[in-house]
Order: sequence, then structure tokens, then C-alpha cells
Amino acid sequence: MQPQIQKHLVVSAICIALNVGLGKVSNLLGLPFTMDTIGTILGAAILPWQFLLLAAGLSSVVASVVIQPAFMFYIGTQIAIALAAVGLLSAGMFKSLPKAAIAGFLIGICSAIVSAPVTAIVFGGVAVPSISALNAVFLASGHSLWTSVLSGSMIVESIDKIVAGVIAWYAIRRLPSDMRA
Amino acid sequence: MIPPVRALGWTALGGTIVMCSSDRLVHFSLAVSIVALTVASTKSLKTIKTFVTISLPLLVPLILIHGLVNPQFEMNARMWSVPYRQEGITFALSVYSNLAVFLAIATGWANVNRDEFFDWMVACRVPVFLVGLVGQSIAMVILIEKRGRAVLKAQTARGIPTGPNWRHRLRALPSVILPVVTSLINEADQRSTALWSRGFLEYEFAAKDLPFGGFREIGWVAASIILPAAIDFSLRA
Repeated sequence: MQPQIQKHLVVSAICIALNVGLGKVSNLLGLPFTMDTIGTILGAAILPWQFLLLAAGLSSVVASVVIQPAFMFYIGTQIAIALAAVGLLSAGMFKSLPKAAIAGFLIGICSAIVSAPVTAIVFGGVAVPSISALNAVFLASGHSLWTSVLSGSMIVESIDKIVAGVIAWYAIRRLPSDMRA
Repeated sequence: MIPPVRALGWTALGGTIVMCSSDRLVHFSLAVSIVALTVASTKSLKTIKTFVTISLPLLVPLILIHGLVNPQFEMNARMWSVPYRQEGITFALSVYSNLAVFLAIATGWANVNRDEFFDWMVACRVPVFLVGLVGQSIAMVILIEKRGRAVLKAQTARGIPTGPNWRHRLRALPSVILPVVTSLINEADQRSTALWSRGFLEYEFAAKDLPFGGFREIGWVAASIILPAAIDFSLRA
């Protein structure tokens, strides 16, 4: 196996671990962010797309082993986030802090749209506690299950992904220039 | 521990039954059976605790949301003078019945020895790079948490405010996360060289035969069909 491919595999493993593990670091500070996209956004800046999609898909598998088996159902969300991150990076959306925040927001919207059907159909509207609470509020105010899940996910995911986008921007700036794809 | 072949058998069986049947009772019987068989395999009641731990965060909000909050279901019943939505509870239980099978299977997989499972994947000709990727990632998740703790302590010692209010914590977030992220990315070269020098990822399929438990495993798979059928029958009777 070529050394370059081996390096890509190691970086993919790091991106997967960042997707799964950074949420725990955020919890150490008592912040409720999941940070489950920083590895994917960084991967979009470092890895060829094939490795990025592999890393994104396996992030859900590893999260289902390490955190909660339900993450297995969100493979599609991670892959959609990876594709969105590649598109936004190539459009130059991670070149400044405000643009990175907007990119994070767009990734959040994309993530909410892709994960809402899974949350509504498979989990009956129950997701992570913050989204479930918002879903309950929307349901109580008379919205349908689908609208509630989509609205709740969009609010929580967009905030979470804006923070992830900003952190990813800081991290991309600190990468050695020879590492960027 | 549970052999991977047994967990695979339960996965195939559970997946097939959930796809073919929409009967809530069948799903619950299967979930209970898989948990019971996992307890019998591991000879440890900790399995029940694992199942309950991963189940409750889904079951409780489902019942609360649909049984009490969701106005699409009529508020038509009372328990200890607390009104609730009977159809909402039924809906919540029917969603949970599918999840219960999945979570019971996951509980079984949680008791599979990781090394044995990786040997199995290699023997089953799953590409070694995939096995390595998953194994490396799981190992690094633990490393990230440890490093995060160390960086947090170091930054606090340097006088960076990391609390108590959320604005301080939010401002401290990049100073804790970025050192963890950049140190890991910068280590990629070293890790890649270390793996390459140890011949990792050059490994070729070497296992002569699959570790299969023979009649013993066939017996377990048979039990995982007969037991849920018996529970289902007794519940209906």
C-alpha cells in the first residue's frame, strides 16, 4: 500500500475520532455541543473525497459503538454533511470567520433536513435531549410531528454547526500548508 | 463473552423479523429473548443494565411526548387522576418495539470480544484497512478525551477562565479543543510511519478457516427462534 494512502487512512481515523470524541471534550466544559462535524469539515480540507465519505460513514458506526447504538441510523446525515462541507470549502466559505459561521449554519440546515425523516420515522420524534424538548414544545403548540422534528432539528443543529464551523475554521488555519488537499 | 457468529445470527434474525412483521408483541418477545439469551451467554446480569441504560433515553421521551404532549392524539384516559393520550402511548410503544429489537441486538454486540470480532472480520475477508480504521478510531476517541482533560487543566492553570458562567466556557472552548485537534492532525505522519513499519495494512488474508462454533452455535440460533415464539404464544394465550 502506498505511503500516501496509508497517511490518508490515518487522517481518516483521526477525523472519525474527532467527530465522535470532541463532544466529550465540550461536555468537560459543561457545554451541550455535540461537535460531531468538526472531523468531517477538517477532512474535507485534508482528504480526497473518497476517504472523506468513508470517514463520514464510519463516524456513525464508531459513534454507535462508543456512544449510543442509535447513531447507526444517521449514516446518511454524516455523508450529507461531508458533501456539503466539500461544496462549501470549494466555494471558499472557510476563508474568513463570518463565512465559516455561515457555512456552519448551512451545514446545520442540511444536517437537519437529512436527519429529520430518520428522527420522525424511526425514533418517533425523539432525538438528543435538546432536540426532543424542542420537538415536544412544537408538538404541544399544534404542529405536526414532521414539522416539529424539522423545526427542532434546524434550531439545535444550526447553533451546534455554527460553533463547529467556527472551530473548524480556526483548525484549518493552523494546519500545515502541505496537508491541505 | 459472545462469539461474533452468535451476534451475527441475532442481527440477521432481528432484522428479518422487524422487516417482515409489524406486530408489536412479536418485536417485544424477540427483544426480551435476545436480552435473556445474552444474559445466559455471558452469565452476567449487567447485560440487563446495559439494555435499560440505552433504552430509557428513548422510551421515556417517547411516552412523555406522545402520551402527554402530542395533541394529534386525543386525551381520553386517566391514570391516578393524571390524564393521558391512550393512542399516543400505543404509538410510542409501537415505535419503541422496533427500537427494542435493535437495542437488544446492540446489547448482544456490546458483549462480543473486540479482538475476536476483528479476527473474524479479517477471516471473513473484510478489507484490513477498514478493520484498522475502525480500531484506530475507537482507540483515538479515548485518547481525545484524555487529552481534552489535560489541555483543560493546563489552560485553567495558565489563567484562562473556563467558568463558571457559560460565556467564559464558550470563549474557552477553542483554547481547549484546538490544541487537541492540531496535535492529532500533526501526529498523522508519525502514526502512519509507525503503522507502516509494523507491516500494518500490508496484512494479507491468512486465516485458514472461520472460527465457527458448530452445533453449539446452531443450538443458540435455534433457541433465539424458539424462545421468542414461546414468549409470544404465552402472551397471546
